[in-house]
Amino acid sequence: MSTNSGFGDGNTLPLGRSSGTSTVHRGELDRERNVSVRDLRKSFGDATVMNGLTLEFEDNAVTTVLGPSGTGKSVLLKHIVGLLEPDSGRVDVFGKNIWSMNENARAEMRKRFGVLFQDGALFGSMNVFDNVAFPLRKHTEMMEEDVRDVVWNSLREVGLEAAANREPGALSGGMRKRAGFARALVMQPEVVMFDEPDSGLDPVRTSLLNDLILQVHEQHQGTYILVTHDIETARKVSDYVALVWQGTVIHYGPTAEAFESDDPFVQQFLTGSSAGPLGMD
Amino acid sequence: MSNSRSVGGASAARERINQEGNASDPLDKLAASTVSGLDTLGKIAIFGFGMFADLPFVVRHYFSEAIRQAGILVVSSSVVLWVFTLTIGLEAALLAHYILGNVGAQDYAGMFIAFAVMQATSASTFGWIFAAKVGCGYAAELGTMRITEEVDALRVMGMHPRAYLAGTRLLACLLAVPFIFVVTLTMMLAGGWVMAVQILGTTSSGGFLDVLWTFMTPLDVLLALVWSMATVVAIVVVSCYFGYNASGGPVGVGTNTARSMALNLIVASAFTGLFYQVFFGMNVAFPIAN
Ligand SMILES: Nc1ncnc2c1ncn2[C@@H]1O[C@H](COP(=O)(O)OP(=O)(O)OP(=O)(O)O)[C@@H](O)[C@H]1O
Ligand SMILES: [Mg+2]
Repeated sequence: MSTNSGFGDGNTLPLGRSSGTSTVHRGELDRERNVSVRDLRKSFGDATVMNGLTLEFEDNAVTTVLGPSGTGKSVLLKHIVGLLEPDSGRVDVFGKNIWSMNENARAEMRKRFGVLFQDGALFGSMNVFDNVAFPLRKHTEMMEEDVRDVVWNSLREVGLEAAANREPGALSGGMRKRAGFARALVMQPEVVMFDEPDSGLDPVRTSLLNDLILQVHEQHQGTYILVTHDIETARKVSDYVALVWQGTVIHYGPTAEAFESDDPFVQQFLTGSSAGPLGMD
Repeated sequence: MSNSRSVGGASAARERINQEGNASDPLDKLAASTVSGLDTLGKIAIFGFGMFADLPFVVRHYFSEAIRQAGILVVSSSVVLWVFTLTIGLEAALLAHYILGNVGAQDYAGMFIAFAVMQATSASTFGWIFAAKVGCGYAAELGTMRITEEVDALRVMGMHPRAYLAGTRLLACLLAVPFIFVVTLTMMLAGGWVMAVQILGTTSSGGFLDVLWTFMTPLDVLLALVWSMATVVAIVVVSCYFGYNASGGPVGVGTNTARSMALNLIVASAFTGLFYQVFFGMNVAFPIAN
């Protein structure tokens, strides 16, 4: 975790961070990625949610997953971390099919993940501090003193020092999000998944949170997967953009390319226009 | 939600049967609900075996959480049990005073307490109160954790949620309940003693205890303990199952809590019938079954 105040300087970054961390080019698609999803299919009852979705996330890059509400973005994240088992298709993480390993191996694999759930999923029986400290206490041999240092540091980064002793039930939605964000990052995971880190935050905090994501990513690297509805967040934070619609990927590529695309779906979504192929259904 | 063992599996069976036969036929309806009931019972049994299979893992990795749960149990639930059972002891002795007094057998108040309280009431009442106070609490707590994705969050952090949530609670009960039950029993007997000796003067203290220990042996206490432990284990398994597998938002948590309460009361009552007969029914000194 950084020692920087994090929420300090809100200067904008160049479009798509094309000069940034990613050294991978789209040409090498057959190389093994840390996180890849192939031909994923999943139905709940007779509602098909994943419809042959294939996506190879770039290592050490921030990829945002965009798509209309209810299209299966959260379901996709749950498949990647093995909370949902696909009807068919495969999910490979660190080169292994997660459904060909046993539950213990999956538990080990998950320790390399940091996940922020859409609703925060804080433990209601613990205060904010203990929530953030939980992974450290369970999975490391750190002394309590060091745990305190690390936790205070990450609470400072997300601006929750004053709320450290409050129970999740006494927090606002945005505060729960920020606490979940701190908890997801506290183990310095190699794969980070954020489900709408910015929903429920005010514009300034959204911007600061984006800076924090970039800063943490810069420091620790790792494969970041970010689900968001905020186009500005996608533009500012991501190296790659994946557009998901009705259970498949309809566009995937570097951020700048997506924003210059003349595909009507992509254009409509990235401009947030009501005119175009996308409707309420 | 990653709810693979949904309680709703039962409704699928019901649906299947409804499609095959005429849904309004009462026999079909009976068959359907029997199938779904057995289906749920089977799932509870599998879940329960899983909880026991997790115990070594719980001891190795989550022991401190189990101790914390045991502490919560003692602090928040035992007082209810103790006060309730003290009242029962008081009432039983009141009854003994007037019933035995009518036939001039006041000296046998201790016998009344031994049979009516120790054998017939202690473990069964313990089970019912435990179902209401602890069982419902577990079902609602785990159910809420399920629907707020806390269970998923645990799994994502590389924890084993069933072991961490259900296994630790089972271990906590195995550790704490013997103590709580023995105190509960003591409260009942003490209630009887206070009423018969101190308040009504039915008999003398020495006489009361002498008669009490004539009709009650340490083996009886052990049997009552076994009975109450068996009931508690069943209650914890049922409550954790319904909580852990809740789905469908707050309404689902409410439904599953109510279901677990209903099943737990049936289980506690059925165990009462069974264990009372097996443990105390053959007692030659006071034959009930003969
Ligand atoms: N456990 C589940 N059981 C049944 N249906 C589910 C389950 N989880 C998700 N769904 C369905 O899958 C679809 C996709 O849900 P998901 O939460 O992934 O949407 P989303 O893209 O994240 O939407 P949003 O942007 O609004 O968060 C929805 O129609 C939802 O009802
Ligand atoms: Mg979502």
